[in-house]
Amino acid sequence: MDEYTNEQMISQTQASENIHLPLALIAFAFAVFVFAQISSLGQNARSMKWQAENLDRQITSLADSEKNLTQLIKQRESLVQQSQQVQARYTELLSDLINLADTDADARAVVDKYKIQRQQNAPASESAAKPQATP
Amino acid sequence: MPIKLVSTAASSLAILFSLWFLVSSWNNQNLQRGLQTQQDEIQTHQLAIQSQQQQIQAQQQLIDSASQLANQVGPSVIRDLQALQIQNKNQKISSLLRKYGIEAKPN
Repeated sequence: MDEYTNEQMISQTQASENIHLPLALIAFAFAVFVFAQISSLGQNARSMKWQAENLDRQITSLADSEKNLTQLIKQRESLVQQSQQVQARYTELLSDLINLADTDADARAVVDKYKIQRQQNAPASESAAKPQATP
Repeated sequence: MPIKLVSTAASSLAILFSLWFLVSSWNNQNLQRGLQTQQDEIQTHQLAIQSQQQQIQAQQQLIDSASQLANQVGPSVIRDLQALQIQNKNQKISSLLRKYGIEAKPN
């Protein structure tokens, strides 16, 4: 009876060790596989950090450009205002000249010479205010 | 007995690496989100710059148009009107010029 029990125990121990060998191999293979994945993730992380630094530089550059353009727009505002005034003044003069050309030959001659005309596609109120002149 | 030890060590290593892998994945996802945020920010800046460039272009067109009127067409028209007014003693043209503060002066 004792011999039988001893044999059974030895057999169980051997079976247990036989299971441990493939288990160890599988665990080791899995560890190697996961380590390779970790290594790949590390490379990706380094690449993304490099991209983040580049994007940071790009953002700084774009923010500077935006700031400069805002300043440029502000700087030109007075010039734009002056231009609008000049344009409005000449537009009014040329519009009056076109009106005068209906009844006055001299005015008609000047209008014809410079091909001054009202904008065709503009609405009636606007077309009177924006004549086009070609020297 | 040693095979048990090897098996336990290999399993522990696998578990440890799995945890490391999870942490690295989480870290990479965060980095990815950060990149996306930066790209969104760049897009916002680019749109703003595009809008500003259009604004500058519109300003330039207005300035050019006014400059052409003030330096080329306008003075020529006024000179011709002044000449016609003097030559033909045209009162209508004279009053038109006076309306804009322009006096006809004979050369």
